[in-house]
Amino acid sequence: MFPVFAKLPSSSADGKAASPLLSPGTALTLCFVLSLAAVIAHSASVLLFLSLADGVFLYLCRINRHSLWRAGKIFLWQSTLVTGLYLLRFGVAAGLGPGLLISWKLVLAFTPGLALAQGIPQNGIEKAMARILPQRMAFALSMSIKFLPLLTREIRAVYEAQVLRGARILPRDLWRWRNWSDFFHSLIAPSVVQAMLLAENIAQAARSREFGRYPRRTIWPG
Amino acid sequence: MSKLSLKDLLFICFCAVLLIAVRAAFRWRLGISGHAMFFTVFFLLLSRSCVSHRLTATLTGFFAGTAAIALGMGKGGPLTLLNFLFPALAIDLGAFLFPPLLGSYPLCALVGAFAGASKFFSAAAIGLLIGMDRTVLWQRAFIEAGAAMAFGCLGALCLPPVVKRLRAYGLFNPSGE
Repeated sequence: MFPVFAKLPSSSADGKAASPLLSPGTALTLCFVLSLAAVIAHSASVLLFLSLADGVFLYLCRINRHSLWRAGKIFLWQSTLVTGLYLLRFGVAAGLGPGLLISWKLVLAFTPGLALAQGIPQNGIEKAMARILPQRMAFALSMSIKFLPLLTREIRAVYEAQVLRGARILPRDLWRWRNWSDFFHSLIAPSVVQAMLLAENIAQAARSREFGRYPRRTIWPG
Repeated sequence: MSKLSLKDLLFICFCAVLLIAVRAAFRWRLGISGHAMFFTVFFLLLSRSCVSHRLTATLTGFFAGTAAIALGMGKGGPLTLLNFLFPALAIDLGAFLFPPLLGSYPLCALVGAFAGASKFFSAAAIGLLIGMDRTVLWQRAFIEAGAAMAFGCLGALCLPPVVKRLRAYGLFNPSGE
């Protein structure tokens, strides 16, 4: 149970977490505004401005290079996929521009959330959420956001193990609907079990730290 | 309302956050209206099947909406909450009316379509709030609800195999049915 907490994503590679330059409340507000602006923006000039703003936001959240590189690989894959689908659907002339624009918007929509999840300490996000939600709910929601990268890594490990065992769940296999039963049986169901185990571990760790004993004493440092 | 354990609450939150992450990852805007309902219905039904509480899906929808607002993933700002709450309420109502829902393909398809149809209300509410022309508003709401019903139905049909497997593992909560 406890080794799980030793691998919190906000910790840097040398074990020392860099302190963000923003308060959690400000970071949460900025994250909301920047992501929303990226979703509703249409012109390239606005997206360019938002890219600069996201760069500043990443710096203020003190994201380390390792996290940036990992996120960059995901963005690159997603942008290639989205642009490729646009090219297939609309052709090169009509699809390239919109495909790249949507990919750019996606990157800008995801970046503030990444900075918030990786750069701001969990108790800070919890404090900010606790202003609008009951303490227990705020704790559960902030913990689930914090542990989402860990859960996705575990789901990925399940996926790779099942592929090695011969499960027909590779992207090319899923074009055949008959293979979807493999997908549900060998990936989704074990992933649900992993999520349950992780929830149990976090709940047990919280209980062992006297979580819920006092109504207002759930955040450390207070 | 009976109090949920911390583990159940955390699992519900995991379902909500995964729903947001998957919806965000598939936000491709390929002109296929209502495709997000596929994931919404699947994750709401999944949480309802694993946690035995009458308002599990509603709570999941509330958390998903709150996380979407906090992370700026919704076009409609605070109104994004409606996109999750209406289908969630439909699923909780369906599970209340049809107790053997979660293991049955026809019932899952029916409730999935019902949850998708709730898109009509959220689309109409948002349109009314932003002052859209009434004729356009109802037409748009019908079109969106039709597509959402189809995708909701498909998303719900993905649940019975998972429930079957969880039941085999001994993890399916019988009182959740």
